Amino acid sequence: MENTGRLKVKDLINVGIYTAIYLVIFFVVGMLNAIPVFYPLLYVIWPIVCGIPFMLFLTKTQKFGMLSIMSVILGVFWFLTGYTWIPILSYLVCGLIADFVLKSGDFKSFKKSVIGYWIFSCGMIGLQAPMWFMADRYMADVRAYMGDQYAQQLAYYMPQWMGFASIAIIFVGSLLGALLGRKMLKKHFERAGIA
Amino acid sequence: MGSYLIYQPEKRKGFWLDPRTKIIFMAFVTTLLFFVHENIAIVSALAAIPFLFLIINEQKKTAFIYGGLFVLGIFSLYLKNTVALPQIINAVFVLLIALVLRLFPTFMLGYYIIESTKVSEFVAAMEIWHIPQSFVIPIAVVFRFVPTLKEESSAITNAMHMREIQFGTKKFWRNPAAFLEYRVIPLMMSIVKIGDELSAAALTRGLGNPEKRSNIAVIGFTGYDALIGAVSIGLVAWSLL
Repeated sequence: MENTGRLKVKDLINVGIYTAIYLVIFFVVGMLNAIPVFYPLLYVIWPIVCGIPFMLFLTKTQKFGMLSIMSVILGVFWFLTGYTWIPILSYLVCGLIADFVLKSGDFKSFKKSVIGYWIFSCGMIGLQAPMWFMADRYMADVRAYMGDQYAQQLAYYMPQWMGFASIAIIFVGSLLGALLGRKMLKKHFERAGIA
Repeated sequence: MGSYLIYQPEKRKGFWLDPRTKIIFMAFVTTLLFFVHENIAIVSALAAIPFLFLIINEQKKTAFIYGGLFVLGIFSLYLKNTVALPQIINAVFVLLIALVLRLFPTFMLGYYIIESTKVSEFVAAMEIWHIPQSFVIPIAVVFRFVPTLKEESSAITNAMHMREIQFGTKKFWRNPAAFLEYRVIPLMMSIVKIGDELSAAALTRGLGNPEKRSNIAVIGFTGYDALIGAVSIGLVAWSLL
């Protein structure tokens, strides 16, 4: 496994595959959005569940640019499903930084992987960012769509400071997710000779 | 020695859109939905378009399921603030309304695009737009991989049913983390395998070749694309009224 040079076709296909998994898991877990109390919790659940595929992805592809490409695809996808343009921006920035972090650890150090994963996961804040950037408008939408009861609870659970708190929450989730991923890799994949 | 016939891609018949049109239209619908979704009439119109697409594409069953759910969503929207429900029931309702009204128009359109676009057509269109290969390949993989994921996942579900590992059984509540493990790990295993096979197949077809690849997929704008353009302009005009 070389970790220098440009992404080859094999790596690109891997990027595609893990992006697909990431999206599917995102959607399944995202269904919990229906209950406002889950909103902040999602920041923990998402990184934990996505930790296993992510760590596996890191063992499969170890080249600069893997996360940037994944981020762009995810961002465009969120744009097309109606999350405005903010996710494209947030994912792109986070993906690039995460790439640099992973590169600095040479894709080997676990510590750097956790930090990279954390920064990458922070891209998902962009999905909820309209809630704070365009708070009035967003809340009016929610009220129109989800009813008053839901809007009140949502405002209660997702105040403005949650935007910053979520970075810390995602860190906890990412750490747990990465640990879980590593454990699973050791337990299953290395034994089967896959990772 | 007779000369060999060169393979010619099929002639397009009936309703057919250029992949570029589909993508631009998708972005357009999404953006428009963001601005006009208080206006139920326009949202319904936006949902009706992919509904028609699906019908034309002979996916009647899917079309009617989606369409029916959408109509239900509109009904429940009108009944929403009349009663204060307990939180759980309210949550279910909210999920239904929000998901259906907010996402279904784009969902249906996305489903249609994925179903009706061949990967080769998509790649050809992207080449015209000069999108770099490092994006085209992953996106094409995502396109085709989601159905595979679904298949694999349902097979695992069946296997796990035999061992009473499913959501909500006694076993599940005793150890939810194990449930995750039993579901995700087999999926990962099969995915790693499929990924390797996919790479091998792609390399066999010369995807790793640095030369510029030729493409015989027939794409190009037709009258139908113009029609979609006209519909889009009409929708914008309607929403500005």
